[in-house]
Amino acid sequence: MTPTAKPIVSFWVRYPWVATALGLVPMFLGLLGFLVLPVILMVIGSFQAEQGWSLSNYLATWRGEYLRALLTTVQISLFTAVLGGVLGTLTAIVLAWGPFQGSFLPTLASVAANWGGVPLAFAVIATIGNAGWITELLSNLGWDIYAQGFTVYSNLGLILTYTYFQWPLMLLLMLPAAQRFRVSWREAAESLGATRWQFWRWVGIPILLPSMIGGAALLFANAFGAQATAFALAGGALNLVTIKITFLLKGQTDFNPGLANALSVEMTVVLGLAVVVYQIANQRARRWMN
Amino acid sequence: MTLVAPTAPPSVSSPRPRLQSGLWFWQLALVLGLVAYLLIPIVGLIRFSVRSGGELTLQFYQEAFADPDFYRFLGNSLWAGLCTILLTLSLTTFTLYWAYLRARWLLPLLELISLLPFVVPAVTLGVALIQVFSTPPLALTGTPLLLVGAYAVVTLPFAYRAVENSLQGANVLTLTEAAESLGASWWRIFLEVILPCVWPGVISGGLLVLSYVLGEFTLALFLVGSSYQTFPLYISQLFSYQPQYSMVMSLLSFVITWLVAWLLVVITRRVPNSMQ
Repeated sequence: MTPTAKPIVSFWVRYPWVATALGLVPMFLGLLGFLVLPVILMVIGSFQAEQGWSLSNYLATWRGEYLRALLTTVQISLFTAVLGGVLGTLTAIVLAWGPFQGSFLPTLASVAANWGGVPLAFAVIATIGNAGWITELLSNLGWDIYAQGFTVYSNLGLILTYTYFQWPLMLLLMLPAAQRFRVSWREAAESLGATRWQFWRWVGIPILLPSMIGGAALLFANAFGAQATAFALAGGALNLVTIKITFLLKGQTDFNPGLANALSVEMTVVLGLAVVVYQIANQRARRWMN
Repeated sequence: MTLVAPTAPPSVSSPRPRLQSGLWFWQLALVLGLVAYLLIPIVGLIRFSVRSGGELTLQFYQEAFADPDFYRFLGNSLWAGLCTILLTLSLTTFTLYWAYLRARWLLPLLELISLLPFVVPAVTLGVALIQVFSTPPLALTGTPLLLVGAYAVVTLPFAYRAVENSLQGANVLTLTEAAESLGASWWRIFLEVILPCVWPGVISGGLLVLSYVLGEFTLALFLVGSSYQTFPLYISQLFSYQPQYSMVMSLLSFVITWLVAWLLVVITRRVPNSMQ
């Protein structure tokens, strides 16, 4: 400890950046080995075919079933982001400003937003599947939804399922913004003679809009990258990018890692765009925080 | 699957605008609509799991919980969860503290980590990892080691947010300097001064990580598959030959998520967030 420690201490004092760097090494190595390098290799792999460098993987993803899968995934993600976004924002405003202030609903919402995946898919099947209880209830009331062409193993079924976590997720994302909305902003508008419509048009919506756009962007990314729920719900019956990737990697007949790489890279580009939108919107939303 | 902890309302609650009371019907409809939307599928799970040929029975619960595979696979998930918690939280706590102390310029960069799972979701990470770790020098595919490594990356944001929250509240710089001036060694400062300060954050981060790992399906399917069956893989497999068992297990997973959320609320309440 005492006499021998002296030169060591002076080394750390003389080169403080060495200690700083050493302390960051574990995290850096972990991220490098389990995230950065694998992703780089995935990108490289997506540009390679049997004869070396090639764009053939990408060309294959831009036609036929893969192109349809990309478009369907974008459509479903956009739809659930808007649906969940509107419902979640309205619910957040009601919770923050209305008479229902308590922590039961946010807790329920966080459970629902976190749960998802395989169990959710089975819960939905038990509810509006062929023998689900809502299906039976409706058919007892004389409305046979399956006779009219509805099936849970479809895009509509998937949208209903995703709403289960998108709605509460948006509620949680919007709640802080709604809670920070000051009554004085409204009073100022009212004392200047604003009508209810004018208040929303010029004050309420402009203040909440950045948070809404940011939240919706996260919702979009959330739906776009989701795999477990869709896979457990309908497997190959759904034409989604994540399902295609699953079969390209795990399937016996479809096995094609190069194609899976290309699809994954395309997913990352779309998701990156969504996150950039989120970041920009979030910066603007922060102006109204505190 | 995204983890969002319930946020505590701002401590200094400024008066908020009230909605017009004429809208009460729509407010009620919206709130009840949400509650119904979230609970109706759970009713479906319960109903499906207690009915056998038109009779009510708990038979499926007894049988499902008598299956030794259930304990093995839940154990696999718990074990992976514990290892992930240890890895990701020790790494996050240490690195964040270090960055606070010596490399503040790194903090905005670290914050980007919290957006990671949105840019690189489980599917993409699985695609990337499976190819790197299936070639001989690094053939880890199928081993829990690879799964834990992947989980540690994916759960970084939860650990990051939780620990960052408590680090912000505690004035780590002053505390460290005070301890240093009293002659405490570096490890002692970290273990006896800093760790107690961030303990609530570490625990809630750990709970979020556990809840994530117990429900994670995609990475488990891609990276380990049948060689290290996890709980969600088991639920999904049961569905094809014993759907009632799989409903029982789905219900169990819902209960676990509830328990974690409830514990998180308890922890957040007991430890007042000094900083927002």
